[in-house]
Amino acid sequence: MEKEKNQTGRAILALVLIFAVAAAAIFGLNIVTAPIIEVNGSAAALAPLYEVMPEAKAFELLYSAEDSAASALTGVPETVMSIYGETGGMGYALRLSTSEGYTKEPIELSFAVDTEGRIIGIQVDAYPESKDFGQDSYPLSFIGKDSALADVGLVAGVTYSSSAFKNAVSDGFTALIDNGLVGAGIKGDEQILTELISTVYPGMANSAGVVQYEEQEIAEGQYKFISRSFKAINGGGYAFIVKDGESSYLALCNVSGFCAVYGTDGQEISGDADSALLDEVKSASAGAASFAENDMKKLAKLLSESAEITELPLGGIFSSVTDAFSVTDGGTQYYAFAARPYGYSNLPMAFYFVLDANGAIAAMSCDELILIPEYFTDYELDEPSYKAGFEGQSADTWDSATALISGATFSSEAAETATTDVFAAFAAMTEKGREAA
Amino acid sequence: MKNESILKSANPITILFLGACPAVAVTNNVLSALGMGIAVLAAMLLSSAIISAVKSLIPQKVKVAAYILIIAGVVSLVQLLMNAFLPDIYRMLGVYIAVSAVDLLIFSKAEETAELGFKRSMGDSLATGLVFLLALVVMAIFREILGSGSFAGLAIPFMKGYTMSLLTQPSGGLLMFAILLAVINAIRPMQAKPETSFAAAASGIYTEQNGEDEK
Repeated sequence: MEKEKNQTGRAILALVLIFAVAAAAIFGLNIVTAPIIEVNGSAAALAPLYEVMPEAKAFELLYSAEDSAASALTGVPETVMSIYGETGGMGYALRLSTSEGYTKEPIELSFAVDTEGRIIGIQVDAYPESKDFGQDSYPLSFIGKDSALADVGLVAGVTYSSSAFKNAVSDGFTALIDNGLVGAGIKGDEQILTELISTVYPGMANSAGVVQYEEQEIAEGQYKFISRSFKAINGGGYAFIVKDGESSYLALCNVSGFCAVYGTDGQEISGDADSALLDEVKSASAGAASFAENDMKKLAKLLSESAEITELPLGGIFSSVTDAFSVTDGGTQYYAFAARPYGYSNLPMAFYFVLDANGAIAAMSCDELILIPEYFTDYELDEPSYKAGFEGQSADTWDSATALISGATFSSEAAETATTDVFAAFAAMTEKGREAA
Repeated sequence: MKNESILKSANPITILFLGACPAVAVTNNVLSALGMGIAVLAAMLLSSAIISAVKSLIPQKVKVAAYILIIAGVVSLVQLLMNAFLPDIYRMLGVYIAVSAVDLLIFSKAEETAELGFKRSMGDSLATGLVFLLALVVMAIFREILGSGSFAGLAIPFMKGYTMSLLTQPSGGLLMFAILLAVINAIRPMQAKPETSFAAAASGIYTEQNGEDEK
């Protein structure tokens, strides 16, 4: 018994001794290596800065998101992780991390500007997605640009990543300009008007606000006013940059042939626009294929055989709604709409709604709720139940959770956009809707 | 054991599936594979030396616990040293340096090492560590050249456009691991085929196959 106690005591003592020696060794080595590790950490943080500004002598930290209160800089967007000043007065270097939720992890990037606010170096430091957005070539399109980022486009097919990247660079400029470190670049009218499209024609943009269009080629002498022509990917309409003398405007036309003209301040000036200009944009958009015939067939499936469907013009509507109809079914008045918001991979989806005279959804349908089935091979969605969830809801009672398809973010957002756009179209187009509004 | 070739030795990458963890994680780049191999080799030699030196002082009933403490301590020391003096490789390896402690526990066959003389245990650890390093580097060479079109981070111009990005992914690592395992098993003599079960490997219990070293 005594011997066993001794053995246990020896065992415990041995373990305690080994633990103590190991802990002491780690503690001692930590004291020696801690300063070296700290220096390494600082050097690692600065390494991307020297890559975007290779001729820099040294950098002085002006702002760090980790300790923003200690910085004299204010109003720095959250995408900006740190701002450094080059000690020789060459300019500034920034490290950023994108915040938009459309990449699995944030994209990290660094860029440097000279004292005039022009980008002299830019690179992607970390890109978590497998889809290539041209991380080696795309940043090069930013070189030499000021805060206006004129002619810097997005990468076709990878608009979420590239717009997140571009927005982060704009955020970096915002921090520099708002704190008086560099001057703001001046945007040309054409750039301002192109950027205006997502605001005045939200139906042309995806859920991240990135406009989805293809630019049409314009032959020399083809138009008097139109200088650039953009066709919505979903076929819902056109946007034109038009020039009348020294002034430039943005003209929008929807699929119903309704056109409106906007100034660079975003205000509609259709009433003051040259009638020849309006005629030209109407004529240029006349080639837009109408969805009406197809949509009436789809809507007929939601109604009884005796239902009468009449197309209504979409006056002044630049949302995802592409068609509107007046429906009489069994003596009851309904309104029907088709909407084509962008879903997964920016592909347009097609939603069909029948609303009663009070604006409540009587029936809802969609061509494909999951656009790319191969990405969702094990996905099961009870479509009848999902669609039935919309019935009875109106603009006042709308619960956005109804549109949610678990695991299919883009389809969910498209369904949400289509529904709210249809409610807005109902409010704008019907007397009952206008009364309610 | 002494008459066996290096491939017949109980090296982890060829026999123990747990070795797949760092093998898959760090072998998409030759430099990180080399770094991991050297880190494991250094930790193995150091832990073998310490275990050989203190084996007589450790009571039988707490031997395993003591070896775990020693190996974990040694791995922590190696981790600190790498963080301080090889920061780039340390960042590449990340958490897998610490994970390698589990491998070391298995590879070092601590129970066995304790019974061997200092010289032989060091020789044993050196051989196992070197084969581990070699296996990692061989895997990394294939994965980096074919997967990324580069060698040790330097781009190979004629590989541009002919890479298989799958090999840079964990699934590609497992594929390469399986190919390497198949090749080694094919050239290993039949009698040396392992019977070590995954469960035994995972629990750190290792038994020599030919009984030569079994105590």
